[in-house]
Amino acid sequence: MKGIAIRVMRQMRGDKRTLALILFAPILLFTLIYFLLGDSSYVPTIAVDERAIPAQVISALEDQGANVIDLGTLTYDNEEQLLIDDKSIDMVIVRSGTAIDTYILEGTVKSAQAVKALQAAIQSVSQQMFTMESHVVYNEGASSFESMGFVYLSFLTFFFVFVISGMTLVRERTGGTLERLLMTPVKRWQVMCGYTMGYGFFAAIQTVLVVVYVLYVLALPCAGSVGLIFLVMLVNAMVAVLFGAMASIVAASEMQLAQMIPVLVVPQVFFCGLIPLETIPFGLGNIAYITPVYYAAEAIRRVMVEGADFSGVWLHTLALAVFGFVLLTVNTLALKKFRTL
Amino acid sequence: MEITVDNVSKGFSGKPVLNGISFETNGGSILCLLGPSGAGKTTLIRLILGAIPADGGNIEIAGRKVPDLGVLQDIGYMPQNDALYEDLSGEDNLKFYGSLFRMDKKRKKERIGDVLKLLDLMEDRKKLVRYYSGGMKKRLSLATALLNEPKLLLLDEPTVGIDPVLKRTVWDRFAAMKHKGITLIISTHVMDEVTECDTAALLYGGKLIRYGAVKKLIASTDTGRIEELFFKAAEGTVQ
Ligand SMILES: Nc1ncnc2c1ncn2[C@@H]1O[C@H](COP(=O)(O)OP(=O)(O)OP(=O)(O)O)[C@@H](O)[C@H]1O
Ligand SMILES: [Mg+2]
Repeated sequence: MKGIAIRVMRQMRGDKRTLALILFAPILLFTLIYFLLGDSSYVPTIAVDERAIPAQVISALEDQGANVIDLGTLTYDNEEQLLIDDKSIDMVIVRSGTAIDTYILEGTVKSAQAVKALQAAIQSVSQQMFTMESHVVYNEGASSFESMGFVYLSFLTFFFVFVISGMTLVRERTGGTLERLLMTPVKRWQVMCGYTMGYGFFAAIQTVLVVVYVLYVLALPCAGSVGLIFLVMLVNAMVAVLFGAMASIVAASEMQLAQMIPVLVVPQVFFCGLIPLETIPFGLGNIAYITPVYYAAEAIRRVMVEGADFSGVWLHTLALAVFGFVLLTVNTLALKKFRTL
Repeated sequence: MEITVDNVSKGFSGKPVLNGISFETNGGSILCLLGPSGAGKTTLIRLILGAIPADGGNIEIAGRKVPDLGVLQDIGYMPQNDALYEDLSGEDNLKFYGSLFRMDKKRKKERIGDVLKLLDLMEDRKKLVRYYSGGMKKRLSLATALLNEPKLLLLDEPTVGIDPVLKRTVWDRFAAMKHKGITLIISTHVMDEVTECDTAALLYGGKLIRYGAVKKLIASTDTGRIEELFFKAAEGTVQ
C-alpha cells in the first residue's frame, strides 16, 4: 500500500505537466473566475423621453450612476427597433398615459444593471411616501464571485482531481501495469488505498494552495473557520480520487474516460448550489443527494456564508466520507475485473 | 514447482480461444509454449497466473488451485508488453514492484542490485524508462520478473527485440535458473528457440496439438524442424 502511494508520488515527479495541472490550473481558473464574476463597474446607458418623464426620476437615475441620454435627440421608428439597432442602449424609458413603459432587449447582465438603476431611482423618488430598504441576511453586497465562491471551490477541485486520477489510472490499465502489479501478492484493497493515498497527497497540496489563494489573495470572505473549509475540501478531494478511479475501471480507454466527464462530472455543478434545488422542476433537485459535490458545496457554503461551526456541517462531511467509503468498496470489488482474486 | 493444467478451456465473448488444454510440468525444467500469433499463448499464461478465470477445467501450482494469492509470492511474470512506468527511472520501477512482494528493505536493495547487474542495467538505472530503448525496456521487464527470486517464471515472449548476443546470455541465465530448480514457462513463436527448452507445448487454433520432450518432438519430424508439426496441423494430418 505504501509502495503504491510512494510510486504515485515519484511518478508525478517524472511527469511535470500533470503536476503543474493539478497544482496550478485551479489557481489560474480561480483568477479568471474572479475577474469574470467579480464586482462589475459597467455603466448602463438608458435612453429616456425627457419631455415626459419627471426630472426627479432622471436625476435619480443619474445619481445611480447610469448614463442617461435624451430620447428626443435620437431618430427612431419605435422603442424596440431602437434597442435592436443601437446595441449601446441598454434600456428605453417612455411614458404612455399615466404609466411608465420600459424596454430592454433581453434579460442580460447588462440590462439587469439598467433595471437595477431604475428600481433604485424610483425608490429614491418615492421615498417621500414610503421608505423601503432591503436587507440581505448573508453576504450583503456580495459580487457573484463572492456569493458563488463555494460552488467553484468544491466543484473545480473535484473536477481537476477526478480528471487526473481517472486519466492516470486508465493509462495504467491500457499500459498493462495494472494487471502486472496485480500479479503479485498485493491485495486489492491495498491497491485502492495506495492510489487514494498517493493522489490524495497531491490533492491535499492542491486544496491547501487553492484555499489559501482564494481566501487570502482573492479575498473571498469566509464567515466561519478556515480549518473547517480545509477539512471538507480534503474529504472532497479524496472522494474525487476514488470517483476518478471508479470511472477509470469502467472506461476502456482514455477516450471513454473523457466521454464520461460530461455525463458523470459536469452535471454535478448544477446540483451544488449554482441553481437553488427547490427551483428545479419535477423533483429533479433530489438528484443532488446522490452527487458527492453537493455535500461538499453545501458544507462549504454553510461555513463560508453562514459561518456555521462543526455542528452545522458534520452531517454533510460525514455523508461525503460515506460516499468515499462506498466508492472504495466498489472500486476494490471492481478490480476483480483484472484479477480473479 | 510443478504445474498441472487439466482440461482448461477459455473463450472471449463466446468465441473459444483455448480448448481442453491439459499438461503437467515439473520443477527444474523449461517449458516452451510454441504457437503462431493468436494461438492462445498469452491467454494460457494469464490463466496460469489467475489473471483471468478459466471457463472450464482446473489449474494447480504446487498443489494449490489457481487463483491463489499466496502462490503469486513465488511467481515471476513478464508480460508480453513491457508493463513499466515511463515516468519512473528503471530503479524506481524495480523498487515499486519489489514493494508489492513481502521483502524486507535490506533484501529488496540486494535483489534490485542483483537483477540490475544481471541484466546489464546498472548504468542506466537512474534514467527515466521513457528514455530507454526497446531492448532496455525488455531487460527491465525481465528484471522485475526476477526480483522476488521466483520458483516459477512465466515469461511471455521474453526475447523479442533483444539482440542476438544478449539473447544468448539471457538463455544461458534461464538454463542456470533451471538448474537451481526453478520452473520456467516461456512463450515464443520463434521456432529456433525451442531447442533451448526441455519440453514444448505446441498450441495451434486453441488446441494443444503436441506436448512432450523437445528432443522427441524433433525426432518425430522428417526434416528435424519443429515447424513441420504446425504445417501438418494446418493440413489436418495431426489431431
Ligand atoms: N481480452 C480479450 N478479449 C477478447 N479476445 C481476446 C482477449 N485476449 C485474447 N483474445 C483473443 O484470443 C486469441 C488468442 O490470443 P493470445 O493473446 O493468447 O494469442 P498469442 O498466442 O499470445 O498471440 P501472439 O503470439 O500474437 O502474442 C486471439 O484471437 C485474441 O484475439
Ligand atoms: Mg501473446
